[in-house]
Amino acid sequence: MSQLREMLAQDFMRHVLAGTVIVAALCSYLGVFIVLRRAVFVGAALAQVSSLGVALAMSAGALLHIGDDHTPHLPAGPIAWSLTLSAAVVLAAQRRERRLPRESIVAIVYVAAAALAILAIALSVHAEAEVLNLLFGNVLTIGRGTVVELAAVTGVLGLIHAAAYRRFLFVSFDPDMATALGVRARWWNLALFLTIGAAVATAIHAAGMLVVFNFLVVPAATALLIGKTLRQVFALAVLTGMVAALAGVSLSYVADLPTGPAIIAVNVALLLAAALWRRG
Amino acid sequence: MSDVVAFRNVTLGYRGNPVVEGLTFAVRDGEFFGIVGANGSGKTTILRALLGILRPRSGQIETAHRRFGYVPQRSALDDIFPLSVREVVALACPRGDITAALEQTGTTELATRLFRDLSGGQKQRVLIARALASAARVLVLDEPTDGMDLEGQHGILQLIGRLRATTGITVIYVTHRLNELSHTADRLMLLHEGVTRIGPVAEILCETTLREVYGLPVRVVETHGQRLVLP
Repeated sequence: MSQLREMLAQDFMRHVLAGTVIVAALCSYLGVFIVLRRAVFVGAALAQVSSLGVALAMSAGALLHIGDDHTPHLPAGPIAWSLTLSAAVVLAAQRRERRLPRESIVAIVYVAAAALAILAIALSVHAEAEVLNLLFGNVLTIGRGTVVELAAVTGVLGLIHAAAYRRFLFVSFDPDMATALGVRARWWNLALFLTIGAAVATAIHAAGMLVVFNFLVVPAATALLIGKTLRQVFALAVLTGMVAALAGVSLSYVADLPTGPAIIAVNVALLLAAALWRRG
Repeated sequence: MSDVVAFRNVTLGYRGNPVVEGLTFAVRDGEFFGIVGANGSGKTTILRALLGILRPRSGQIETAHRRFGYVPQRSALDDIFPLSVREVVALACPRGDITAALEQTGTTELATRLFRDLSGGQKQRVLIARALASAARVLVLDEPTDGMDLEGQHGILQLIGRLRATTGITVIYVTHRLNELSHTADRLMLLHEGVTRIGPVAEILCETTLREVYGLPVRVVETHGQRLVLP
């Protein structure tokens, strides 16, 4: 307990906790849409494309000698945002009559982005450390500015979803009936994907690819195992995501473990507990 | 009687492969119009074009309004969604009279149950309720009795008949079973390997037409005022 009190007494750890909890709440909520639409690899692909943006910013900075020896990069945000939103447009546009199955296009986007990110990072002088950062992020670097940015984006996306929740759900559940009633299902799907892309692009630099992907899938899966109604599923997903974030950061501080994997481990433990509770 | 939807020389297909070519027909207001054909004959393609999901490669589709009450095949909706019956109806029509629609379809007592836990027949009734609550003037049903037992089939057809009598709603009903609509439809469209025949039931379900379309000797008998096609 004294270690936890010590953790909370430090400004930077409070920022870490706040930032991680915001990422958890935002991605866990959006993850319910992703899991319900059976599109979990869209989440993975968007996260990977976003981390490609970060990698490109790092390597371009290194090549152009922008930044210092320790953080040689261009501003990653705009590059990650533009790449992720472009990928969201491509993935949202996939239609039933295409020759290639949708999953194969998602997989191609994922694998291409992963390979390009590694190639880009190989140009950097700190390649190995940066690959780890790209995968797991470094939540310990979350400062006040990042928290404000995360909160602002979450606020805007929250307002969009408060206004369009029913439309997003309708085009996810039954796009054909939505179209039959004159709803522009294709545009609403695109809007939903863009909100997911915006969330991923914002979260990725702070939390890393695997942590963001984990929040897009695991809390929603946990909630679907134990939630009886859709409202419960959304609430439980956000709650378990936030609990995993708080517990993961605390665990990593107390036991001196890497933070990203600790958060994922707690999330998976909650999922297993939910599965056992459901069986029992 | 005005037309609620009209296809004029419409060609439909996917990626360069035409499925239906030069299709011309109209569905009249208040009519029960059946589309009958085997799997792969183009029924669903026509339906998707009618609903605005698929754009015609050529020709024109004119609709009197853009609100169709679509009742998809049961399997088209993913059971992963933990939505209650009331939520399923409300998604399509938050301001519609959901209570009245559930009453009309005899599903009031199912309102709080999860949609995914219902039987096939109950699901179809709820989807019909959703179409009614959305104030659609045309009910479009895609194989609504597929996989149902006799009681389920009877229940759905009775419900549609009752709704037509009380609301005057137009019905477009797709099925692969030739005999299913023989006593309920006003007109039928028969689809088979690119051949299309449209007309009153007596004109379509007759030995001459069926022999022309299928190239097989087919027997049609009439019993209790209903035509039955015997292979």
